[in-house]
Amino acid sequence: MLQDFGRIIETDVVAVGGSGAGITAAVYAARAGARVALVSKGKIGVSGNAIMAGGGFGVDGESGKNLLHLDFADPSFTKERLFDCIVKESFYLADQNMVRQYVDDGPIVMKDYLGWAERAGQDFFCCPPANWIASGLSFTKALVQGLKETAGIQTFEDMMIVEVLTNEKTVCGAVGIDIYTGEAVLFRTKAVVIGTGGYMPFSMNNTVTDMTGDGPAMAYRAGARLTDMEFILSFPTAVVPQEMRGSIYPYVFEYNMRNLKYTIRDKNGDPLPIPEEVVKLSRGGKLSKLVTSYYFGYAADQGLAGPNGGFFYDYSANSREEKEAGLKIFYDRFDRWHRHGYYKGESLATVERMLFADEPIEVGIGAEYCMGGVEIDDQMQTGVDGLYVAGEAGSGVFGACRVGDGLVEMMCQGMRAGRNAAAYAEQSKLHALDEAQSAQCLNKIFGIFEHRGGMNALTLYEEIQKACDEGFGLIRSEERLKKALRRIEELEAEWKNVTLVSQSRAYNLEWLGALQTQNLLTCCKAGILAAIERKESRGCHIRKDYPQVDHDNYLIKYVHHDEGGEMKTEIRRPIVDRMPLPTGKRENVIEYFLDPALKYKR
Amino acid sequence: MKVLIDRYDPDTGLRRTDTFEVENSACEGMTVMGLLNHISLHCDSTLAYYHHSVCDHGICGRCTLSVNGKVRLACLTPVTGYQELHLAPAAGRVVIRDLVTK
Repeated sequence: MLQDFGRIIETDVVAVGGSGAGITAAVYAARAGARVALVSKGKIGVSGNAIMAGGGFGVDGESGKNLLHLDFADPSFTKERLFDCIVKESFYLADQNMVRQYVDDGPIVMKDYLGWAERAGQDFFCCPPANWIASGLSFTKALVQGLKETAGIQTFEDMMIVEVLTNEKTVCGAVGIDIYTGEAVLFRTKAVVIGTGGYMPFSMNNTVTDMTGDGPAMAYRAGARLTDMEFILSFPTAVVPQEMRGSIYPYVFEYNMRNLKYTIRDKNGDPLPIPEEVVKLSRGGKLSKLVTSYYFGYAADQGLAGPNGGFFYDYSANSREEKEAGLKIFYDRFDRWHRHGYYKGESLATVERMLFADEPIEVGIGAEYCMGGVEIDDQMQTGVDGLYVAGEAGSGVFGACRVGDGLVEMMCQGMRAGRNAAAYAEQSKLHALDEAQSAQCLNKIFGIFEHRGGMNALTLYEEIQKACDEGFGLIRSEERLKKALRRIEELEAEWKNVTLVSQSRAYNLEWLGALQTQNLLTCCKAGILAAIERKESRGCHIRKDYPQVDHDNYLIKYVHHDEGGEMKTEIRRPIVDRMPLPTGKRENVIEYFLDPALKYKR
Repeated sequence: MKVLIDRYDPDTGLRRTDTFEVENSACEGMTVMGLLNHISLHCDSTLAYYHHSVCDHGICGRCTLSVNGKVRLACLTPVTGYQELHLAPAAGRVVIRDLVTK
């Protein structure tokens, strides 16, 4: 069996993922003295979702002043207020011990991070209480600086970790595939930190490609549990110009060009019914992601979307000078990273022309982030010895809706996971391989080439997205969710004979697709199962048939685990720290925020 | 639109150029990346082009290839206006398979 592996690498900690969580975990594990292998599906620092970020992140103002000594910090936005905001934004579904860790460890990791950014020559835009705006790529350049400054990390790029190996519920290895050559690589390791990001079930995303929930699904197969999988965060995303489909310029415009007023209209030119107080509460801030999803979702459900599935941003209430001023704010911030007139790599010429000509700009909704993932505790442990999870691949901080920062989450959890994995590795021995399990894993990976007559892997991927678009999207109902679940189960059966045309192991996208769709199917199934059971609306889970937020019956988490190949779902209450769980019902997810008794203030 | 794609199979060492006919209506507003996705899904699923963990917006810079003899990023190059496209691996790089280079 061992001869089937092209290479065997022995190490203490394998950190999986080439973005914030993986890199941070690797850095802190190595600092703690562990031998570390950092393995990334793409190129380290330019794969994963941090490069896609609009780039806003921050910590509380108190820590900004006292720990980070920022001259722009506003200490009146205290640690406790940040804690309060995150729990309320999560619709009280956050595990409050996880929020505590985020609030406490965020500023600590940020101190290191700001040093890396400075030494990497990255200049961020700063604003109170203790916030920064970076470009996604400049954010990861700083991370790569941290990696460069740390000795003892072996890196593996363009390698997909396809399985975590365990023996008696203890990590003993991980199996990777070199994407260029198809070679199987065995990592003999004491600990694994999964930092691979979340899962994106839909066809319209603003993430990198291949967000197939590899980490959560691998952890699930290794014996960990998944939770909050029904909550996917989406936000305004480009559908025009068509070449820019998936760009986040619409949201970045909103976030940065706050001087500009606009009305969002449906295909008939009628404004979406967003009350003024909701606009005031959310526009220009991150709560706007949920608000826009809600109103776009309902309008689309009524057949009011435009030809590209979006709605029309009408900026005609602004004078030419106001528009110029808005763009100046935008470019003053972003020209430090992008060519003038561009956002990320793309020209904004068409968008600018439409803006000045008062042509309504159609904007869609793209999925960005999954609040759910592997169930972890505040030490990033999973219940499987030696298996840790950090960042979007995990769950717990943001519950039903994230308004806070995914960038801080992946860093503070990566730090904690890296340190703990190193400490665990130091006091443990390398566990023996379970030969049967390793053989089964190789058989799965290479057995796919023997399949005949089944659905093609690329078609299978598309079919999963189609099923989720139709039944698991922004506005949900029992009937559509059940239909989506049936389709996902059919596709699970198809996966067993998923078929490749190419028999080559070298850069075989069909093969990669086959391995990834198994992961995506697991995540989608968990999400849809929970969405069916959750007969209420909460955060990003919006049910047309159950619009109320029902604290009395549904302030619970759906937690999924594998039992002999079957997905079993249990429920539990969120972990409470200092904020007691509320009772009663709220009319819908928007009214939840408008309720004065909530006392919500970012 | 006529799309010529240079292929290379590392297992046999064979090279060839394939021709795909793609409906103009399917190409509207598309980038070369979108076109490759379309061909891969509807015409030839064995096509290898740089598509794992990519950004599609000119950020990661990994989808370099040759478009009608010029080095371009697939995700930033619109196909509108072309009658014929010849896609080949970027010159001066080691070809892994088809359009994928290292």
